[in-house]
Amino acid sequence: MTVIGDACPPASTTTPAPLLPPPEPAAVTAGLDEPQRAALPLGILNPAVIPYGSSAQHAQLLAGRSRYLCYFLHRHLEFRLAEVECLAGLVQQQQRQKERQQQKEQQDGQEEGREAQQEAEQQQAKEQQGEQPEGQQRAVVWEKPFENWHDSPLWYAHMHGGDSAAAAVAARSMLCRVVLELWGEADSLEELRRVLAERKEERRALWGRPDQSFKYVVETYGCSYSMQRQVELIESFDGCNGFQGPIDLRSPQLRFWIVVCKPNGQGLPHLKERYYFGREVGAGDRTPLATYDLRRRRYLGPTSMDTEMSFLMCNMAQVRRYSLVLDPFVGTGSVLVPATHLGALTLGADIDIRVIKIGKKDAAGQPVNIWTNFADYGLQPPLGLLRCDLHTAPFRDGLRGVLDAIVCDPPYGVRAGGKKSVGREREIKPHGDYVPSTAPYTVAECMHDLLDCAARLLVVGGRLAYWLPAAPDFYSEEEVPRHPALQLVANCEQLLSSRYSRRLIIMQKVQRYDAAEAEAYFEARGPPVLSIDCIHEHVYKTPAQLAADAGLSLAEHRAVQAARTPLNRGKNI
Amino acid sequence: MRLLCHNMLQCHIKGVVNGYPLKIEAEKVETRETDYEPDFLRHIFPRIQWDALREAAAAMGVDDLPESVSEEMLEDESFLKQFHHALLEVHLEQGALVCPETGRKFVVSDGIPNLLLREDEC
Repeated sequence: MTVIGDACPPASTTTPAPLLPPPEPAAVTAGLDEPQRAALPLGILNPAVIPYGSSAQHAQLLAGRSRYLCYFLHRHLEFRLAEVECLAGLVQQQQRQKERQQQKEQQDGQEEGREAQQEAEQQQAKEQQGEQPEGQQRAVVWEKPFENWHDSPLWYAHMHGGDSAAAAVAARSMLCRVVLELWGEADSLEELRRVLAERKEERRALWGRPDQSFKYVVETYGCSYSMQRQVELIESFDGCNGFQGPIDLRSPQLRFWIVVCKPNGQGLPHLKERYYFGREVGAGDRTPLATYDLRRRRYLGPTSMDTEMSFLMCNMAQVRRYSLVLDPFVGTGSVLVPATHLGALTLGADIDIRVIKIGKKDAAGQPVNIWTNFADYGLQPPLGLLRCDLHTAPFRDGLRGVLDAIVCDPPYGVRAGGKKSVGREREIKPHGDYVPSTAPYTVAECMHDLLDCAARLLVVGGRLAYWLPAAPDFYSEEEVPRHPALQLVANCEQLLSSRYSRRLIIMQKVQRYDAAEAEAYFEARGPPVLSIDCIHEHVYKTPAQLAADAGLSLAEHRAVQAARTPLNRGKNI
Repeated sequence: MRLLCHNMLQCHIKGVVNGYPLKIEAEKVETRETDYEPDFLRHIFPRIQWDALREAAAAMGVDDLPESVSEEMLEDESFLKQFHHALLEVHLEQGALVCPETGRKFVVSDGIPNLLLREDEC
């Protein structure tokens, strides 16, 4: 049995009667219509989503896919589906590659081998360009949770590749706790046991045989069960499952999950009482978060990326073994650490020589820098660090399709402002350590340079992941920078305060870089200007100033702000 | 700085036409063992400018690279080892990268090349 996770607030397990009367969830849910329940943005662009329980109507879309139940942590709600979908895309790509390689090996030496190989390569090129029928190309078709609650932790994922693919997705995921093969769900435990008993014999031939050790895991959402109650619950399922193998609590071959969902008034979504039973196909692993905890890292800067977020960035950028990954704003290397953990080879660039070369002194007076961070973790250090400027990037002209991913947190002037090299007419006295002056770098210019660099340097199918500052007051979809060679894949918001948030933007290179096309595209769009460039003034204004700007009284302004802030969301939710 | 990085860089001063490849002035060269990963080498090989790599390796004292190469050679273990050594194991710790056209020196210190331009160069 697991300890109840983050998803459950510590509740009164020992006191029989809670101090507050239980909320009336029925009334709350009854008052909400479909749009309100479905107000949460899903993070992915054009996701394939079908309503709860409508698998039968979408047989064509779901052909060759298996249905799994993803049980998510109640964290970073907008990132959850996007992360799993990106990982599923990566796993399916790897599986196809493996299949192709096997075919190639079988056909080696045969005359027809060449043709088949060419065919396969054409097929691969087509896949990369996304020339597949609508919906079919999605790595995951999502089925909404029970009652179509978007912020429920239980989403159904229809994925290709069977259990092995689903397990691989779960193993890398940071936000998905477990992927289950759902055996049954019901409004009451009696009903759930009845559903399970119906297919008992048929399932027992595969799972729960005498040679398979097993254990049960009780997971609660919106409530809390004491150990004794968990044991009682588990024992009540003995009859309807009748597993014959030995119980093994340490390392069982099979894990069966009982998920209990109850309505709760403490900031969690008002889910209806519901019970789920499933076989674990794969489980998430968050232990790297403790290994790479920033609090224990010796070399940090003011904008070092949070470990969980940097793992999410790498997962969504589909970083894998032997990927070549660049962070053009490397700073203290906090984004490259998880990339290296995932087996990638990394390159870092920064305009500030102090950050990448000199570093700092730690508490014990020892010099620390990027190299010592990687050495402390026993990771292979970056392949190279460069001091250069993205605005006048020193990469050779013909360099194309070399990087698998660009993962970065650009400077957007809230905690650390951007700098670029400037041309200026003045006399320079060249000497060895001459320090050229830099000029402020607007977010719009920075994004333009970043996207153009990504469009050149990424392989077709490679991904760019970066953060875009945003504020609810002036964010609009059109603000997201575009490039003709790059397709937007995901756009997930992390709320930082009521006035300020940041969005993780994932783009995929879908075609070869064409300099003339890119130039014409940017010419047509005019010089890069983004309204988020005024974020600095905006964020540091007092509420009174903001109210005056909008022509409202302070109270009215506060009311407008409160209405705009999503309910029960925060920095990590 | 590994030669993989050197292979990707050029002199980007405004107006420079033939800024590639940068010549290496080596003051201190180190050899550090790096994990040998043939899959990565095969993946990166088509993106490497061989002549530039060969010239740079020679400037760092590695002069056993063949003059011309082809994709077939990637099946040859001993070639891959040579390629791996030149590309990833030889480090330029102190020295400079010199633009073949203007002679501008980009200093490399502690293995980090400084490619920032002066105001009159951008």
